[in-house]
Amino acid sequence: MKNVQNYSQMVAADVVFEGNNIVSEGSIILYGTIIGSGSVIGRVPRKSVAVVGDKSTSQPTELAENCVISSNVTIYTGVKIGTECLIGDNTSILCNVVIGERVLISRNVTINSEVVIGSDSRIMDNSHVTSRSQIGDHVFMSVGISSANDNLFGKHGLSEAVSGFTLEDFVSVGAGCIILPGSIVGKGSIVAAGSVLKGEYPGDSIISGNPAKVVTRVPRHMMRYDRE
Amino acid sequence: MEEKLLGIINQVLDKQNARQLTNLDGELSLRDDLGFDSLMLAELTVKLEDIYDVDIFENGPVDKIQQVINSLA
Repeated sequence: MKNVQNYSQMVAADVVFEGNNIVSEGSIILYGTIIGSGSVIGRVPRKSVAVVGDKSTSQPTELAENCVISSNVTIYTGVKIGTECLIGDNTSILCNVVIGERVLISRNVTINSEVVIGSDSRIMDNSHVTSRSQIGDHVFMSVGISSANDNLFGKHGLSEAVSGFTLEDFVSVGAGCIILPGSIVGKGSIVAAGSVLKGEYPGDSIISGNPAKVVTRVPRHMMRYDRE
Repeated sequence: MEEKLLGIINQVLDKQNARQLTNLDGELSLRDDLGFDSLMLAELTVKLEDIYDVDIFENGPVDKIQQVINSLA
């Protein structure tokens, strides 16, 4: 039994639903997309006094052509996902997240609200992207990366002081890194596994440690873009 | 050139408080004998790149000191 509850009029005819899916009213799903079993598209967040900041939005969720949404994925309202993206099992994407084209988000990834992810980027298993973060094009985030956006642990709610991280284009972040609020990593830099990022780092650098520091620049053979 | 290379390798080792080399043995492995990790290898590569304008890893993996010498020659 498929048990698909589709409340939207804007789902392309060839979209495949694997079963036990809910599609909220107004959601847009374009041609060639697959929605895995148990996944929910356009979920409206429940209001609760326990939640700091109102994440609700009236914007619809939009999935472009040829996306693969795996099993038990929850995508909230106001999320825009570009063509040919793959969202892995059990991933959750909160409101107002914008994702480019050909992005891979692997399993058990949590992406909080107001995050922007550029095209051709990859976020691997069990990572957490804190709200208001900016991830450029061709960024690689390895497994088990944590991030935070508030040094005051929610004391003033979702105020202006709450600031996610920024990873510019072609940045690579190793496994198990911790990215502290407001950290910025410049284009093409590589962050060693287990580093704790705090502050601003230049581009084309190899960064390591706790707190992470620049060790050297990126050698030519490790560069992922043409520096010329 | 070998004297310069010895000095650069020792600079990288010194940053890790590792034992200094007194002479270059071509058969020594950067990883297994000298304890270079990926960060140390990157540092060595950049230092050599600055002097010789050659990335020693550009044509594949390098591990023995002799391979480093060959790639710089």
